[in-house]
Amino acid sequence: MEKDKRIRVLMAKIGLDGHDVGMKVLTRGLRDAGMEVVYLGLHQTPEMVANAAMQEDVDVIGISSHQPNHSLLIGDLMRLLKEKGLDNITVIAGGTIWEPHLSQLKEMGVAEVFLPGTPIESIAEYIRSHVRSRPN
Amino acid sequence: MIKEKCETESGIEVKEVYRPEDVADLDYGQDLGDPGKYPFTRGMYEHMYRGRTWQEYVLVGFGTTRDTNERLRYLREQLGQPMLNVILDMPSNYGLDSDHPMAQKEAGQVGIPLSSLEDMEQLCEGIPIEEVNLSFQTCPGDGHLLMLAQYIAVAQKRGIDLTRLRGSMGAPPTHRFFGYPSPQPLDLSYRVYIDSLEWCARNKLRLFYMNDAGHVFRENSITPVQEMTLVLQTAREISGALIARGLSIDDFASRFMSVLGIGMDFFEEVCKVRAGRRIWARIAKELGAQNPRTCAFNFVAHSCGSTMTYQQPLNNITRGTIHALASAFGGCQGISIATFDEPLCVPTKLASRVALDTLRIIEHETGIMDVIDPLAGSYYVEWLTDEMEKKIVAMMDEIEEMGGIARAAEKGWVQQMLDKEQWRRKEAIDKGEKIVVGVNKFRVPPDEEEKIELHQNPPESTERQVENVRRLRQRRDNGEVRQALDRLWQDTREGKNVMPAVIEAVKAYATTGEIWGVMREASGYSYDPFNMIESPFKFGYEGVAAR
Repeated sequence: MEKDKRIRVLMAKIGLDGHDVGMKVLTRGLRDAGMEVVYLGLHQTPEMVANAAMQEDVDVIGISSHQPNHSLLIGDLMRLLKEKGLDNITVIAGGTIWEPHLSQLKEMGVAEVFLPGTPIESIAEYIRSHVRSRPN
Repeated sequence: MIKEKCETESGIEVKEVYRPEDVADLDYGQDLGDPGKYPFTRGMYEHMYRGRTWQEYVLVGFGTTRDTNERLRYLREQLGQPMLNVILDMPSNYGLDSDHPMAQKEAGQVGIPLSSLEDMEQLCEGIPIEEVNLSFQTCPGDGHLLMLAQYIAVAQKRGIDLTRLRGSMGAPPTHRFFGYPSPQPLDLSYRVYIDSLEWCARNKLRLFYMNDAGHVFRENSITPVQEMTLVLQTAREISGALIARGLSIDDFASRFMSVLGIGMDFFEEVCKVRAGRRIWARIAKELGAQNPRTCAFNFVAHSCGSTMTYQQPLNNITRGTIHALASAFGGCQGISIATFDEPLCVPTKLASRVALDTLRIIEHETGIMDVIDPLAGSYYVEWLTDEMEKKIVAMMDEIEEMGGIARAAEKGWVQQMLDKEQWRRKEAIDKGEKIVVGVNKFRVPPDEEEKIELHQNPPESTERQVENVRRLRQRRDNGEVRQALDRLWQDTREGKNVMPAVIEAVKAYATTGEIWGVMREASGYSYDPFNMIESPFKFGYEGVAAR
């Protein structure tokens, strides 16, 4: 029964930045790949994302970022998830994220960071393999 | 093997070779005309680059306005750059202060914060604004109002005749549908934008007060044909709104300009600019233009950052060069090329210098700018210019039939177009149908990839900026602020042009968020679009709708 359950992904961007093309095409791509995507979209706060993740009972949170303050905004979210006991959710990030920030984000608990140009299929594959193997 | 089917970026199928019969209908006088003559296909001025070379810009904006002021002075004083181009940060784009809860981690991150006149004064410190050409990039119209009012206030405080100001201001509110989902209500945003343009026209300002920014569309995966359609349709709609205010098109349209996005499809970009000038000339005439200058649209180029790659970033110098060449052959009046570090960060000094030098090499070393519109008469170029014109005009009519851009967006037409183009582009790259060097082909191993220096915002600039705004609120004469905001509330409610009251409020150091908040309340909206802060002024509002 468990294996028939579709993977649920939340897609959001924290803050005021409007670069939403990547997040939109990924939403469509993951839906085509058979996942359920809750598209929260632009102008979210870390609180809004954490609350939605809880209400929607998602397996994955995808955060898109195109600002140099990634670690600040994503760091707040990671702290909140921990506080709410939601740190079993796989958090992935994507966007124009610099190399020096990659390790910072991973230290905060971000599972994987996808850089511009990553094929959608690779992201879908990553989610499939990681969410399935996660202990419930 | 011969490639069977080739299409331009806009999806126009092109033949292998073009011949005289493809342009048999071309009428020189009617379709082209000499440069500087109706319908301006060949360029807006008689002497084009011989008379005045194109304006070369590099985009700047980070940290506090003091930080950006330093960079502007470096560009002006060290690199001899008379054209300055500044971009606003996201909070300022949306009419929010740096200390708004949504803004506190973003102020000055990518672009400058303009929370009050103090920020603008710091930006312009030591720069003789009557001698430079200062362009501001902002979208979608909400940032425009305060930025314009603050700039005017600086000029007035320095005793500068406003008609001496050169440069350009912000994009119209309907650009919000393309990646700038403004939290401000469209009706209010539109009204005050038109107020500001009317005020500029009546005061005979020579600034380009409307930048009908095409690059905003392009960066959302919109094609060149769609971009020019939206640019010209926007200009037509804004013209209609100003004519309805009792102005004639000759009073304002020569102060319109558009920073177009120039992408990688070389010939299509050239033809887009030529076709755009020709179509506008005819529209302006239909709208009653008597002055030929009204019929000549001022197109400026900005190379599409979205064509620049994160991978192997030095390749972006080549891409920028191709953008610049297309802009020159298309007869753009000015250009800024995206710097090679565009996909990674705010431009570094080195990246800015390379971008500027690329333009100077084209200008001084190649001879490209000695002959006007050198591609005119090419079977292919004239055919493609015609073909694009037909498609642009047809799509403009389609939008017009829907009731304009805002209505088209409401009906989902805009979103559908965006979804389709964005998906088409991504799919083509993922499937390898479209090759992007260094991304899906010709990629070097990671350890061989060039490491470039990345821009770092000055330490704690965001925190300093947030603190600056808080301190300003305590330091200023709050009685004067209240008085100015009373008048603004009144004028907004009574449907008067808000510009005089906005300028007065700006001079009293009322902040961007406060001015928007008061105009919102006077229009029946809550003070704060995110409902996170309470109105400190308690004008009250009758409506219920927030955002």
